[in-house]
Amino acid sequence: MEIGGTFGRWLYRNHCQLTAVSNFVRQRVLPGAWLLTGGGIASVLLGANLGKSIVVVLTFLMLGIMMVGFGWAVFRRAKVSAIRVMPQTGAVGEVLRYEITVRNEGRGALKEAYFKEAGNDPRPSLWEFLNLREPGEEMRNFFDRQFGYYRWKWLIDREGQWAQANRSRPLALAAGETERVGMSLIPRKRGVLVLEDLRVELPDPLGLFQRRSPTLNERSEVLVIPKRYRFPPLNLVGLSELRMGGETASTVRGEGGEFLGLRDYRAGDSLRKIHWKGWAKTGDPVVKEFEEMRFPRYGLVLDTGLSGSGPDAFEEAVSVAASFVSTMEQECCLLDLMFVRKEPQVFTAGRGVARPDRLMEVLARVKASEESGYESLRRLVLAHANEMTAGVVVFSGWSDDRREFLGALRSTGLELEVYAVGEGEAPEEVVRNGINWLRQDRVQEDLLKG
Amino acid sequence: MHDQPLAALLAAILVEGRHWTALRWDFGIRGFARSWQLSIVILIVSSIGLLRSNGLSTADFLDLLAWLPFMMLPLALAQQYAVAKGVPTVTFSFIARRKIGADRRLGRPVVINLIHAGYPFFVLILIAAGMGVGKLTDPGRVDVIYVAGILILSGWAFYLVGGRCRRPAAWLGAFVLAMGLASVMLWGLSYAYDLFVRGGGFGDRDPTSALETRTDLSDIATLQLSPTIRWRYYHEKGELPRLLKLGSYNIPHLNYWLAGTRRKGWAEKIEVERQAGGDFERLLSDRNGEFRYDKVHRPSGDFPVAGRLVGIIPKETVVPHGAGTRMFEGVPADIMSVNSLGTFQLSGAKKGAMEVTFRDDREVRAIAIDPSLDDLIYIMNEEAGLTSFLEKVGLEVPASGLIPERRTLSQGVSTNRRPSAESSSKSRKPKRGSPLPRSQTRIAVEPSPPAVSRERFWEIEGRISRAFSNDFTYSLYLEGDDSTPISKFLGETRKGHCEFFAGATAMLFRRMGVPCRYVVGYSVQENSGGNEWILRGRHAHAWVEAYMGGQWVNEGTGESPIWRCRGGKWVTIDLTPADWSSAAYQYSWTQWFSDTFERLRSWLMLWSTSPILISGILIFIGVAGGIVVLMLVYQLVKTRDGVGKAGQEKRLISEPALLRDFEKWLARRVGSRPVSLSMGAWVRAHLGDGGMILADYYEHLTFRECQPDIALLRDEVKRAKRFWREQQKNPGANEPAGLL
Repeated sequence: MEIGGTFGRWLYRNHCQLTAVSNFVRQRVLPGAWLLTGGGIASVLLGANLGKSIVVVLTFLMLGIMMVGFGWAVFRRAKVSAIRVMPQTGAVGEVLRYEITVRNEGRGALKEAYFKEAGNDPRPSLWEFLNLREPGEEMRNFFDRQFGYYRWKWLIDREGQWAQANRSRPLALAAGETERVGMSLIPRKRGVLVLEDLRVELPDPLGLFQRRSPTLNERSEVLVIPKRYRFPPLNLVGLSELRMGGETASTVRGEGGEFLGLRDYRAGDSLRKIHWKGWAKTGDPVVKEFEEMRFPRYGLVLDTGLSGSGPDAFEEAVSVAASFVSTMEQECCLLDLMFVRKEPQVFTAGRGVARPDRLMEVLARVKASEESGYESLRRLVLAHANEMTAGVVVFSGWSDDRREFLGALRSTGLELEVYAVGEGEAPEEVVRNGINWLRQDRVQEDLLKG
Repeated sequence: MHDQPLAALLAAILVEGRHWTALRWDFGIRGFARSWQLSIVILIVSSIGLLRSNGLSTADFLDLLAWLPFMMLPLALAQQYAVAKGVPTVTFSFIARRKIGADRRLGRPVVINLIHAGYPFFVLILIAAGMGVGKLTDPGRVDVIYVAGILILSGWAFYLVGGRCRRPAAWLGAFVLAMGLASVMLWGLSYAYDLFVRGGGFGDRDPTSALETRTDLSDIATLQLSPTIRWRYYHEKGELPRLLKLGSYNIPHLNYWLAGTRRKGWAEKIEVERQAGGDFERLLSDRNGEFRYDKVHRPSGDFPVAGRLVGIIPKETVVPHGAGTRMFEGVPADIMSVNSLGTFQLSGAKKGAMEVTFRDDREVRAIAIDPSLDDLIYIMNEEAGLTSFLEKVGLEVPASGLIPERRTLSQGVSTNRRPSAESSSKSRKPKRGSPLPRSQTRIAVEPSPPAVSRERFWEIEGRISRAFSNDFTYSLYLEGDDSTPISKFLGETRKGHCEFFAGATAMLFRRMGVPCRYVVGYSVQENSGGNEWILRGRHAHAWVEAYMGGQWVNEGTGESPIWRCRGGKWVTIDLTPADWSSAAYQYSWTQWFSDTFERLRSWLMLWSTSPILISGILIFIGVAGGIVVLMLVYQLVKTRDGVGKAGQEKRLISEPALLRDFEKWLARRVGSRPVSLSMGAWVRAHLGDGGMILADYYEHLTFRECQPDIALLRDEVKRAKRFWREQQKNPGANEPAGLL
């Protein structure tokens, strides 16, 4: 029985509200306060009889400490401005380090203040809660399946813009004083990471509670590129011609490259390469030899359709594509990234055209599309097929649409390396078609397995 | 543990030894679980040992709690000497460990949270150390070392929380403030406890028992009367009793009276139907398990006086009743008993409050046995003062020394007293004054028939009463004397409270040869509306019961004479000036809270043991459950209709509901949607053009690409359904594309 219907929506609302309350409390109540609460309850239970023991003294001491700590934290104030100094890009799953410059704008000195990024809401959407399944959920008991607590917990752990935002070291700032402090977080999703809610945490002197005040900070953005895997070495030998390349792109065809030396003429050498002065001196025809300046051109086709798959598979497909781009950075080649986003899109990078970083940026921003658009994509790829040495196709799932699309590409004779990311084991049809099936929870393993 | 410093030191060395040694073990979850289980086993074995030894009393239980840190030592040591920085939280739950094992087998991600057991262990030590080192209700017994210890240790712990203290001055201020706040709260708790529970100051004396009552005759102080409600009396039938008796006492001492009850060999044998129990006898049980003193069964309605009492009671207490009480209703016979002086005692009551109805018939013979020589004892030191007073009021005082035998306390009182465990407890030991030496006890007159005539009786009563009314005043200021408080009262101060008047009356009557007993109880004087009368601590009163008429009879043998006064009757004599009860008392506003609290408390205690409780609970559960169900239904309906508080939430919740319903509707007709097929494709396949807009709309909604329009969506769903029905009626008219 699935979570769904009115009950599912009711569960979603409850989980949302409980998570919100829980986060609010956990961000403000420190472990010491929880210990005191537990100890206080235990002391009440064990020493409630006033006529038998004096444990009530301990109970009230704990209560007094908690009340003072709470009141102290509530009445702490801070007026702080902050400016972030961010790197241009970050990567999913890798620590993103940056600095903030904080200034105490208040009149009084500020002691023991910590800074931490906020605004990261890990709660999933209703669609995600109703449709995404925790791995192995079907093996959970009936109660767990019905109430979806573990599904919610799993979603909470994977949602949000970042995973760990470490709080800064404690700062003591005099009025008007400025200080720089390092911060870090681990991005969890590709795309544009927006940081706009930096909080200053002001604990009480006993370390039980803390106030979280907003700071005056401006919105900062970082482009987070997709997660990348170690890609296996590819042997993409295509039928198409190698393409010219160079330091700069030229619309005029011709020979290029650095001069290497002279050699004896061989039948078939172009007359343009004959070194006339050398022939005159030696009496034998010699030709000039240049460095080869032709590069392979690969096409990277990314499937952005969501039909028959899910967002997880799509994200992994993007990661596979990013991994391929990252691998190709080391090669001298041209790379065409092709996908459909409302309309066919192609981005080319490589020697003399654009830095591969551009493709990474595109991959960081690419979004899934509810429209399949395989026909458009087919036309786009076919239009570039003649220029491509070989192609790499990354599917986010497998369906009839994709099968037809792949068949159309293969009919052109283009050498293709095809990857499909999906849930579970590879369908028989995928194996039959020679497609590399990548289980979405074991992509790296399947990639290396080839 | 507080009294076992060596054991504590050893344990502390073991725990802290981690800092001095490099010993570390790599415990897994199973290792920690074993240490926890070992602790639990030790706890269980210790509990069983205590139970087997002498039953688990409260004191033993406190001892058990005090040793808890030792029992938890295996876990604490595992924490200290483990490589891991904390104890896995699953250690404490068998189910959680099973679940983690299952998760691991199934390849699910497993997150194990660690807690540092050292901190809870530290708190446990602080709690355990507080067991038995004092009590809040007796501040004099609070162990100062304990209080200082927890302040220093907890202060140190908070100083180091988070590694180091970053703001020492602020920490010091906060901690001092916390201590002040704790002190204020402790004071408030003591005050509230005093106000609501105990109803008196810290020096409030122990309550009267069946065997003893204390007086303040030799004290020098101002008597503090407690305003706390002791009982509430609801008069139901007959003439309102102005005095409700708690107990009678016949052996005088300087500052207290004892009850010298029946002894072996005396003429008053316990009747066959009754069951003796020490100084007391169980009363007869009627057919309902309640008890009565009459041998002949009488219906409840035959008693001329009836009243109901409600109050919070300890396990053993004396019960107020009328002068001629013969029957109690509402209390099991096996916990009620009466002594030979007519004092009713309740022993072993399991509930904290009691509601009992007594039925009274003053015309029948008193429940107390006839006088013995104990009822003629007076304190010899007071003889001169008593004689002087009696002569002043114009009475001819009989000569002293006409004593058939010199009876001593040990012979006359204590030989047959076999106090129960409760009565021998420390709380029943007199705290002030001390028993008189045997030479100070004297029988005033030699009994000889007739002892004192009725006329003489009333003459004595009248002269003493007139003297008290004319020359004496009621006062709460005590000017006692350590040796002859009665004489001082009669001859010098001539003012005092009811204990002086009652004590003096008893001594004077005895000096005149009239058997007399000292009685304590309540004066019924504060009406709170209707038939409810409040009996507060300040309504406690003392008076006497004197035996009128009759003649002394030797019912023993020549070697062992047993003198009894037979044929007369016990008469209640209260010679305290009548204005004692008119002293206005201004109740503070806190008294209202105290009264309300007491009323609520007694009502709750009674209700918690009443037969209607279960039905009441069932009704409550039913009503509460119904309300919860209604709320859930309302929430579900609200959720379904999308009337959430926020627009975004409304959108998220309402539209998919319509689409999901439609999916179910269509699935019932064409079969379930294949997993690999998107909803849009499925709808298009089965409805063709008729479902095109709906499918598009679904995809937009799913991927949140547009602002939803619920009206549009409803229209489209209707249109799609209509299209389907038409298609079924006219197959082929709008043939869909079919499944891909």
